[in-house]
Amino acid sequence: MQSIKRPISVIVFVGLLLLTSNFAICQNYTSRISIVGNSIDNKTYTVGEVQSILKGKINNWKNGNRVLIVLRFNEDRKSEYLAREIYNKSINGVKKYWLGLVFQGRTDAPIFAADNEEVLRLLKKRKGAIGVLVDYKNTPPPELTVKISKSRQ
Amino acid sequence: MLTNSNSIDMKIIYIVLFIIIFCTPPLFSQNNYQVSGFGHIEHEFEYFEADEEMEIGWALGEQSLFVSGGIGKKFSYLGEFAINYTINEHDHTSGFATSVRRARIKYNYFGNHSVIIGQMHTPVNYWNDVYYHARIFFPTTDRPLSFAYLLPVHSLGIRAQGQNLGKLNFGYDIQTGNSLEGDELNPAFIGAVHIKPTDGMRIGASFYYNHITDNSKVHHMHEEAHLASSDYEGALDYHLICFSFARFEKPLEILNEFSTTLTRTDSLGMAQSYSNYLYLGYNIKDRFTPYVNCDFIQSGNNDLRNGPFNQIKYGVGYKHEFSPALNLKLQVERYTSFNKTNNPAPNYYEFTMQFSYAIY
Repeated sequence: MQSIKRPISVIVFVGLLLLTSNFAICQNYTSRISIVGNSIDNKTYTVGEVQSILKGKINNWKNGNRVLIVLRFNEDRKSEYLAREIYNKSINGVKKYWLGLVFQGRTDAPIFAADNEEVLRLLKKRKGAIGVLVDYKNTPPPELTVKISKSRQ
Repeated sequence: MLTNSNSIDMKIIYIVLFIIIFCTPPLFSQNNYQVSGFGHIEHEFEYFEADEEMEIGWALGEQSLFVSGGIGKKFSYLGEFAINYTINEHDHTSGFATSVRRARIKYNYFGNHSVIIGQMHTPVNYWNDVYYHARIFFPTTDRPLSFAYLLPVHSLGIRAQGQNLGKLNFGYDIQTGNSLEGDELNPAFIGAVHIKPTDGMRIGASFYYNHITDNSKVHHMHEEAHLASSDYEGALDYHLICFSFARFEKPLEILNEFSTTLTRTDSLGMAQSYSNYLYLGYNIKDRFTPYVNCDFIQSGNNDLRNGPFNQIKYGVGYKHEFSPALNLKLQVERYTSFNKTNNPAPNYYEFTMQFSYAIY
């Protein structure tokens, strides 16, 4: 009995460690935010990489497609959450950020979609598009799903 | 400068521009190209101490149309077209003038590396590379003093650009283009580098060189630029070195723009001029920003590019952001000089109320 208990406790400990450690792979950016992409380089990105992409720091994917950012973004509480979690800004702060960046000619303007369905509809049409869904009730199509790894930030 | 006969043409241009803005897709829309507009309106009050005179009035600032869009996977276009109300102090005529501020094609050949061809802003400092002519982005109501005397604002030429490279978000710009006198035989060269160690912070430096054969001509500087007091029409070598430090997106906002020029002539040798602009603001809830600013410029007696000149201005202001597309700035500044022997600028006070806006 003693010999069985020990392996079980080790397995439980290792499992807990994996769940709570930085090696865990998580499907979503946060519990409320999902990332989707069409013909982008990878299916898995770290939080830091996704933030960098969504802040307009990458112009082209390695596969040659142009980076196009599609955000579910308007004046509601969900957009407030997106603005805080991804950009660490207010809604107005995000608008100001993009207005300045586009005016400098450093990156293409993102598309602000009214809801999650519009994000997915636009994403399916455009290769190289990366989108952000907030509180999406359904599961995004597997071919568009981007997993977030929290291992290397 | 426009005459009365051109005013009808200007009205037509205005109508066309507004139709373009309101009938085309806005920024952040679903089309492959975007059209937006920027502009400002201001009210100024100036009091000149020596003459005990004051000047007061409203001014229609620059109205700009901004167009950008992708051309296939690798190419993009950006254009900025402005209409300005100007007053010619020589013949006392006034009118609207149109100009192309930027018109450039960008070829994104690999990753974040691009080649840009066309009319663009020189990347000499943070202000000129980030704010351009849009007052809505300016931290204060007007540009640093160096823009009036030292800096080449525009350039027509070719540029290699890299941005957001590595962990420090390193960026470079290497450019050659038309000279400060519009002489194609003596092109100007610019090299600029910057890093962005954290979001909202940018530290940069640049070097600019141009051999000027006729110093009386002023090209590629902004519309109010002039030579401070120089009548020199000969040749000179013009070197400009700039350092910028910018910190925004945090409550304490800082912008420091340092510029120094080294001009060399056969007769008087090497001369040096300096300018430094400092802005300190405190942003509260993305809406309210009280600030202070201090700006000075000094050019030496042997500086044949500008002639001897010195001026300092300092002030306080407040920026109120109604939205990302509309803000109001209120600013009081004291203009004076700090060296009474070196062609000092006049003493006066200036109060400015400026509304700046964007349509997108």
